[in-house]
Amino acid sequence: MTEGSVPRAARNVPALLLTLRQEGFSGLVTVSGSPGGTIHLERGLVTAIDSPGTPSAETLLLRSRRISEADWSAAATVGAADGRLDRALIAAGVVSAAELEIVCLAAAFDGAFAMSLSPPGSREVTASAAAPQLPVRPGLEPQLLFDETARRRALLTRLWGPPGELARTRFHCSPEAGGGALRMPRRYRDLLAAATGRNTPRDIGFGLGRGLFAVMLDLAGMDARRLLVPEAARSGDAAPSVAPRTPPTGAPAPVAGPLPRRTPGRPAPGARAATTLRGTTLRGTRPITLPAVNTADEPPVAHRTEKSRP
Amino acid sequence: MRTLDTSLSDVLASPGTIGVLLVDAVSGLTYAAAGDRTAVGSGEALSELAELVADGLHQAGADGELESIVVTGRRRHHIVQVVPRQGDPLLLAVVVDRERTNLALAMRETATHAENLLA
Repeated sequence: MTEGSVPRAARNVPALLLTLRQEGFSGLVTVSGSPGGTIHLERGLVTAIDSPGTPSAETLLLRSRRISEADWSAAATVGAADGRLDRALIAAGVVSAAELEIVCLAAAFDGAFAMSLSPPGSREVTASAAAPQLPVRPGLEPQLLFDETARRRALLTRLWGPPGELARTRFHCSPEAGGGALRMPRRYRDLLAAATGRNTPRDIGFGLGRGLFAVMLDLAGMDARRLLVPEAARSGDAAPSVAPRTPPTGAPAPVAGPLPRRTPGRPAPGARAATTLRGTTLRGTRPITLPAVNTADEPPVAHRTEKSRP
Repeated sequence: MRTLDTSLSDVLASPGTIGVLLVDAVSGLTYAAAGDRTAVGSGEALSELAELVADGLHQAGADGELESIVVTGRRRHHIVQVVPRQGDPLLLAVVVDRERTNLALAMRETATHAENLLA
């Protein structure tokens, strides 16, 4: 427990936040877990929620290209003097006050939603007077966050299914969506381009600079319109593999006798081919033809595939 | 007072305006409200309405993005104006009293407010 930590005995995170609201507490509530996150409080009101599960206000502004990296760095330098980055951004004219309020609000609600997608771990309450970089002012009533998070979860459950499962699902473009003949909103086209079967909704949100909930809602809608196909439904496997489903054509080399052995000081048989396979797996676009020496020995291929994924 | 609250108060100051809501067009999150909030409806309902209309228009062969939805009633008119921006669009929903408002003028004013909202 860090210095200044305050022990709390609340039943869960919402109960803790309501207690802290009554006390008018200012500081941080750090919740461990996957993804977990940090809730910033000012007089018991929530001023920001940072969670690795969804883009922060800074990421939303930069990745969506509302603000350039150069403008951000310049404003950050000015804002570091008095700790008010929001004022520096507005004063520099790179973002309007209304736009910044909207982005900060959206990030806080998305942070709460992202934290609700998995069971929380341990939590730590730390008294602190330091404000977040981009706060919501005045802060949000905790009950407002609970109600909105419950609404989001109920909506996704109605449209698609369990939100936690949707957050882990990777989507591919469906054949019906190909060709660009269909008329659809621009954000659907962006999602189709990002739906490679390797990105979770969180990854797509970070890539496009969009909130997790909005991405998940759009993916659910596109799935219902058959524009996307869930990865699990395509392969039936929990871990996607880039290995070919059928043996390579042509007569395989006879594998007779014992398996090849590695001799110290000499490259193992098939070692060069295995290096090529690993590099191709990372890029993951071209079909892979396995070397003959591996065709009767599938486990090493699967092993390499799993290791190469982040 | 927040900038958004000030902006929506300006919208509410137009003659005959009963309620105003600023909503995320995708997530349905309400960012700000002014006046009679219940007359405008919930943010989720507004975003679903906009999605339904836009989807229907696309299926009917329309190109481009939705601009506004106008629903006229015997007592009130509902104007939902899309606020385009870098990122997911917003909806500026305005309910006006039919007796005290010229619909064409209200639509024009709402569009102007939407243009200036994020400026």
